[in-house]
Amino acid sequence: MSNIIEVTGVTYLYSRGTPFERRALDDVSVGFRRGKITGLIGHTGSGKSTLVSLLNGLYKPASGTVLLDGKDIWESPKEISKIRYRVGLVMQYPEYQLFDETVRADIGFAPRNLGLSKEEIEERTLRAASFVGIGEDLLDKSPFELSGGQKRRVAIAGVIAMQPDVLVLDEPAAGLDPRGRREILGGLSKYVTEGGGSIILVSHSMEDMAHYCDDVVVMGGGRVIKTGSVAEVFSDKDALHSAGLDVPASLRIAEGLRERGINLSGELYTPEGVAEAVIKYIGGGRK
Amino acid sequence: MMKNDIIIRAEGLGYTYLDEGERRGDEIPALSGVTLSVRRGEYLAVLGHNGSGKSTLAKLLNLILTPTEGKLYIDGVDVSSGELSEDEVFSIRKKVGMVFQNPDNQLVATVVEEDVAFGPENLGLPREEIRARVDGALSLVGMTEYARHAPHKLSGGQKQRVAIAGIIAMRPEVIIFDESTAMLDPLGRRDLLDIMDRLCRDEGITVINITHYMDEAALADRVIVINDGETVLDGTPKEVFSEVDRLHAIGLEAPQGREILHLIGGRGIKVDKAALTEEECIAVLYELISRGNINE
Repeated sequence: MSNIIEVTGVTYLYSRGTPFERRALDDVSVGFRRGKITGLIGHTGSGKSTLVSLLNGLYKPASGTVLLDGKDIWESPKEISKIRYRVGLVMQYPEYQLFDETVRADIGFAPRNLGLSKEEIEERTLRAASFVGIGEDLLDKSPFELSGGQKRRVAIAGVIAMQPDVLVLDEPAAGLDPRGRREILGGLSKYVTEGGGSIILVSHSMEDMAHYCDDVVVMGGGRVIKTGSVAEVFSDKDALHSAGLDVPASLRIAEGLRERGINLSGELYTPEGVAEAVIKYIGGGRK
Repeated sequence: MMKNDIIIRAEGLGYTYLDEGERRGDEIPALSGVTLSVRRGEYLAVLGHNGSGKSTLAKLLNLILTPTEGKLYIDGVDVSSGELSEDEVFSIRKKVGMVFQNPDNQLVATVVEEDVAFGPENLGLPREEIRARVDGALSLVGMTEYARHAPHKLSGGQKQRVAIAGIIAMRPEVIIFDESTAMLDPLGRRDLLDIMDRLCRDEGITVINITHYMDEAALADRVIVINDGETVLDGTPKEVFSEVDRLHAIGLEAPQGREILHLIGGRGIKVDKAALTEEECIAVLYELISRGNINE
């Protein structure tokens, strides 16, 4: 199976059976490719947080199925907590969830609960810390001595240490400066390329989607509006606009040039892509 | 310039705190030697990475912290002595309002209009005056129709707008936004930036937006960049964002259009360093490409 997670015909209702019933997801079907980083984007109320909570069994769909590696996660409801080790969810502002005495103990919490050997707990802790750029010198500190960005990374490492098949992160870079964003998101890419995992990244930043994601799923009004590669999704301006989203600034600039009769080619959704395309265009003109 | 045109003046302002962690007792300078003047009615952006000292500056301006070095004058009053009476502190805080990052941390009441009325009620104003201020403030942030709603059921952007209304109702001279858009989605962010702009242009309120979003800083009249507790750049957005290499060196970026021009400039191709908005960048690139084709 090329999809690590597949959602088919999923509907989810809040306050089911009361006068306040609200349809948060309406017949959603979407697949997330194995070994890829998929961006999940949409406005507040678009249904993306509900979808994320369905992926690891925090919520149960009113109808439809969630398949993990081809198997319905609700096949045996008593076993649902096992799914949460396989689909690791990093909530927004996870740094508020740190609790243990040392960084090492905090990152190793889930492996300890999995009943792993001491050696394996240590090995997983070190590996998880290295993915997020937390050096060994920090492992014996109290998590509360760290900076905000470091705390965030320790919290993410705590989920990575479970070695989930799928790592789902809700706005992992929110509130961080450009360097902090790069450190966290760049480290996550390694979890896919070196760790063999898959990632679902919820973000509001079209720029981050353009830089780090392979695929993008656009949500709006409880439905999937558009899904495809970054290039496919960013070229469908109408779909993005109907979801109330904008394209990255670089792409807007490339489009401004197209309106003036200059058709650049290449990956036009990052500054690097547009700069390359312009240089190529001029070079081509001089030949 | 006349003295009272300057609403905030800092001279060699600094703040050093005592570390409570591993290096217990060590003095850690969070901000040092910052000298700046903010004109009444100015729209200022303060840019810096996490831990640069920009939030410390905000806390000094709002008298949450007392400076450990230098002088700070707000509306001509020296507030750096640490010897202000409670009334004096209260009167300064009334002049300088602050909107924080997390809207959940600043709403106190269970009904939107009661939350907005909280400040004016504490001023002991007459009932009619409170009503007028609350209505005016809610209308200014576009939240009139939510006056009777419960704040916890609003979106993040709506909560921030209610928090701002609560500050506007105090009739402040200055409003400091301390990374107030960080938790908002793109629409909520755009709304909030529109409100900042209107507060400054239409209401004459001095707006200070502390942020690490480059595109937000580009909207201000003036940008100051703080790094390691010191001011490293101070100028119009055009001036500050023409220093792309210096911004990169301290972990910041320029808006994407400027980055594109910088990358092209790095290949030995001459490009205008002042272009900043998307339209300006498109015009510069168009000019460059047309020139390239003429050279054919």
